Amino acid sequence: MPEHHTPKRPYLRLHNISKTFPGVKALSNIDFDVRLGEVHALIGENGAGKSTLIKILAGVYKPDPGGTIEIDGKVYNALTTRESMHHGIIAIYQDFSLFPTLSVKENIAFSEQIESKGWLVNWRKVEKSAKQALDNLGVSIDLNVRANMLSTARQQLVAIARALVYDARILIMDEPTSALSSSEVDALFQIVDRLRKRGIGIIFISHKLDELFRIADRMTVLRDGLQITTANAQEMNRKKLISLMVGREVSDERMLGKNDGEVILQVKNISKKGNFEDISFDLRRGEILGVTGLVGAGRTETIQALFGLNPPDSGDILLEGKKITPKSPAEAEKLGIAFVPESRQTEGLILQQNVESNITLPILRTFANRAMRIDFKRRRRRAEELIRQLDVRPSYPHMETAKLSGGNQQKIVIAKWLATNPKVLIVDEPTNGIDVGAKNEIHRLLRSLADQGMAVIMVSSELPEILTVSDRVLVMRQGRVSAVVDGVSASQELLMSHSVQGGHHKEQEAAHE
Amino acid sequence: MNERIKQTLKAKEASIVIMLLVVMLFAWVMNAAFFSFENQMDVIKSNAVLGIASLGMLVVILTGGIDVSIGGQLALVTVLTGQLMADTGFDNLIVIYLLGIAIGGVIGLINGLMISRLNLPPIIATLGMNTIINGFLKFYTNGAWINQLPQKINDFGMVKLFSVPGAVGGAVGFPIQFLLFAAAMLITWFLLKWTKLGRSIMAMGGNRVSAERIGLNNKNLTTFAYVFSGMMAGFAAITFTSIMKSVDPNAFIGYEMNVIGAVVLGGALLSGGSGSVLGTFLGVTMFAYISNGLTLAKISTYWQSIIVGSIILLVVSFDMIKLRREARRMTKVDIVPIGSGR
Repeated sequence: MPEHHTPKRPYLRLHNISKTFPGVKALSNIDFDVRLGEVHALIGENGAGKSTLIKILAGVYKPDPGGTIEIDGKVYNALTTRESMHHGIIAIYQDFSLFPTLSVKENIAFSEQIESKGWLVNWRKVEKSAKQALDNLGVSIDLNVRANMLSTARQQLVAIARALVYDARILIMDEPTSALSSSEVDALFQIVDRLRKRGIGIIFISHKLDELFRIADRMTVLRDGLQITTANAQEMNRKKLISLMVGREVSDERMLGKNDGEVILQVKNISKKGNFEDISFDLRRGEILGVTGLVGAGRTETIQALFGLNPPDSGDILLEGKKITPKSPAEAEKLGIAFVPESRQTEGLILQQNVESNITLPILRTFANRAMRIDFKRRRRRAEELIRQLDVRPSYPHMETAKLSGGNQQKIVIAKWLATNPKVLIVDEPTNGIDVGAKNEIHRLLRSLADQGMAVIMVSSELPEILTVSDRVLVMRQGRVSAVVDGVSASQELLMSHSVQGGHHKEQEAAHE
Repeated sequence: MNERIKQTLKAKEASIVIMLLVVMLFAWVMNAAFFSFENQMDVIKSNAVLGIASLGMLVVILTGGIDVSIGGQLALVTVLTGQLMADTGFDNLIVIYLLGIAIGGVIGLINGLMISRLNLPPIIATLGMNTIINGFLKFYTNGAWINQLPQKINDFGMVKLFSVPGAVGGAVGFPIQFLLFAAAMLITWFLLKWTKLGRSIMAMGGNRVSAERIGLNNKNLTTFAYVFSGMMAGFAAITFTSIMKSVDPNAFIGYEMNVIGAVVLGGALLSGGSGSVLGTFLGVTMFAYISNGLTLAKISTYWQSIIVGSIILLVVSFDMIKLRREARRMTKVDIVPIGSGR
C-alpha cells in the first residue's frame, strides 16, 4: 500500500457533474476530486461512465448545466480542450495519440514547438526538451527513432514524457497496463510512483484489481453513471470493491431451461496466439451458454473461431462428435453454425434493403431454380413466416430495414440466420443499444429457440443479461477461461470476481469444475 | 550524427537506391550510350518538370490525400500563359513564372477547400477538377498548339550552366532545368524539415485524430497542401513551356499517373505521414531512367506505360502488405503467459 507523502490538496474538483446523451444519462451528480501527488483510481464496468467523465475533464464533452469544475481555484461550468490543457490536465488515451511517422523527440516536444513563437522549428530545443522529459522519467529511448518502431511499452513512455513537457499537473491514464507484460507493468508503476512524488495527480483507470491495490491512494467506483463510492484504498478490499462494481439490479425473472440435451458442440483446448489460449467447453442442445468477461478478455475472438472468422492455431472443435475446421463463415454456416454479430447495423444487415431481402439473404439460393431465377412468391412466403415467428413489427416484408427500431432490427438479424436452420446459434452482445422492453423480447426469443432444441451461445458483457438467460456461464479473462459457472448458482459478484484479475483466488479449480 | 546516417541507410531510401542501381545497370546493358554525358543531361532536362510537380504531389500525399488534377493544372497554366505570351508578346520571365504559380495556386485552393471544408474525398474532388479543366481547354484551344512564343522564353529553356563548347558543335553543360528542380527541392525540404507548418503536415498525415487532439487545424493544413501542389504545378508548367518552345494542350493527359508514380516509387506512403524530398528525388530519377532506358532499348512507349504502371502497383501493394502487418502487430493485446507472476 503506498504510504502518504507531502500534504495533498485537491487541485481539481468536480461538483454535481451530470451528462445526458439523447436517451441516456451517462453521468449523474458526480462529485469527484483529485489531489496533487495522489493516484486516484477510477473503477467501473464497461459503460459505467468512466470515459464520459474523462472526456469532460479533457474538454471534449460539455457537462449538463448545474455542475461546476474547479481547477486550482478557478471555477468553470465546462472546459474547452485548450483550458483543460493549460491547467495541465493531460489525458493519455489507450492509443497514446502519438504521431507514428515522427521521431521520438518530436513526438515528445511537438506541442511545445507548435505553441512557441515564430514559424520555424527549433530542433535543438526539441532535442533538449525531449531528453529532459525522458530523464525526468528515468528512462532512455533513442530520440531519433520513429515512434512506430517502438514497442507498446515504449510508446507509452513517450506519451507520458510528452505529458511532462506540457507541464502536466493531472495525468489521466486510461487502461495504461492493458497492453503491457507484467515486467513492463512493474516498470510503469515505478514511473507512476515517481510522478506522484513529483506532485502530479494521477487518475488511473484499470480493470485489474491487483494493480489498483498496488498503486492507488484513493478509489472511486462508478456504476451506470452513478458515483457509488470514493474511499481511501486502505479502507477497501477486493470483495467490497467487486460488490460495489456490480450492484446492479437483476430482473427477478430468470429464464432457465432444462439443460439435459445431448452435447452437440465440444471445444477442446483451442488456442490462437495473441487471441485466446487453451479454451475448452461443451455445449448442449437446448441450452444457452453465456460467455462473459471484460472488454479485451478474448470473448469475441474465441467465438469468431467457431464461426471460421478467426481459425485457431491448435486444438479441436467437434460438432456432433465430428471434427470440424471452419475456415470461413460460409463453411461454418453449411455445418450448421450461425453467428449474429455485435454491430448489427454494419455487419449484420443491409440497411437500405427491405426486411424480406435481408431475412432471406443467407438462403437465397434455395429459392432459385436451375437457371438461377428466383421464385419470389416462395421467398415472400418464407419471409412472412419468419416475420411472424419472431414477431417483427411492423410486420411488412417490404419495409426498409433502416426504419425499424433497434430491437426489431436485431430480430431480423436473428431471423436471417434462423432461416438456415442452424444447430448452433451464436449471438454477440444481442441487446447492445436496445431499450429494456425489446431486450426482454430478445431474451424470450433466445430462450424459445433453445427450448426448440437449438444450442445457443450468447456473448455479453452485461451481467444481468447473462444471469437472466444463461443455463451455464463461461467467464473469460485475458484470453483464457477463468471459470464455468452454473446459471442457477451464479451471481453478479461471482462472475465479476472471475472476470477481474486477482478477483478470485481459486480460479484454477473453478476452471475445471 | 552517426546514428542518423545509420537510420537513413536503414530507411526506405536505401532500398530505392538499390532499385535505382538495378535500373541503371539494365539501361546500360541495353545501350552503352546510357552513361554518356549528353544522355544524362537529357534525362535531367526532360525530367525536371516531372520532378517539380512531384514535390507538390509529395506534400499532398503526406497529408494522406492525392491530387489527380495535376495534369490538368499543368495544361491549364501552359495554355493560359502561352496564349498570353503569343497574343501580346509579353516576355518578362519572372512575371510569367509568378503568374503560372498563381494560377496553379488558385486551382489548388479550390481543390483544398472542396476537400477540407466539404469533406469530398480527394480523389473525387481532384478528378472532377481535372475533368472540368480538360473540358475547358478543349473548348478554349480546340486542341490547337500555341507556337508563336517570345524568343526569350525559348532561349531560357536552352540555358546551360558551366557550358563548354561540345565536340560535335553546340555547347555542353548542365541544363538550367537542373537548377530549377534543385531550387524546388530546397524549398520543399525546408518547408518539411524546418517549418512548423511542414512538421504539422507530417504529423497530421501520420495520425489525424492525434493531430486534432493536440490542437492542429487539420482543415487549413490540408488546404495548404493542395495550394502548394498547385503552385509547384504552375512552376513546372512554365518550365515545360520553355523547354518545348510551344504549348500542346494535350501534352499532360494522363500525366498525373507519372507524378504520383514518381512520388510512390520514392517511398512515400499513400496513407500519409511518410515520405521525403530525397526519396522523391530518387523516385523521379528512377522514373526518368526507366523511361530513358526503355527508349534507348528501343522498346515501344506503349510498353513503357505498361511496365511503369506495373512497377507502381507492385510498390504500392508491397507497402500495403507491410502496413497491414504492422497494424496487426500493433493492435493485438498481449496475453500474459501463465505463471508469469500475478
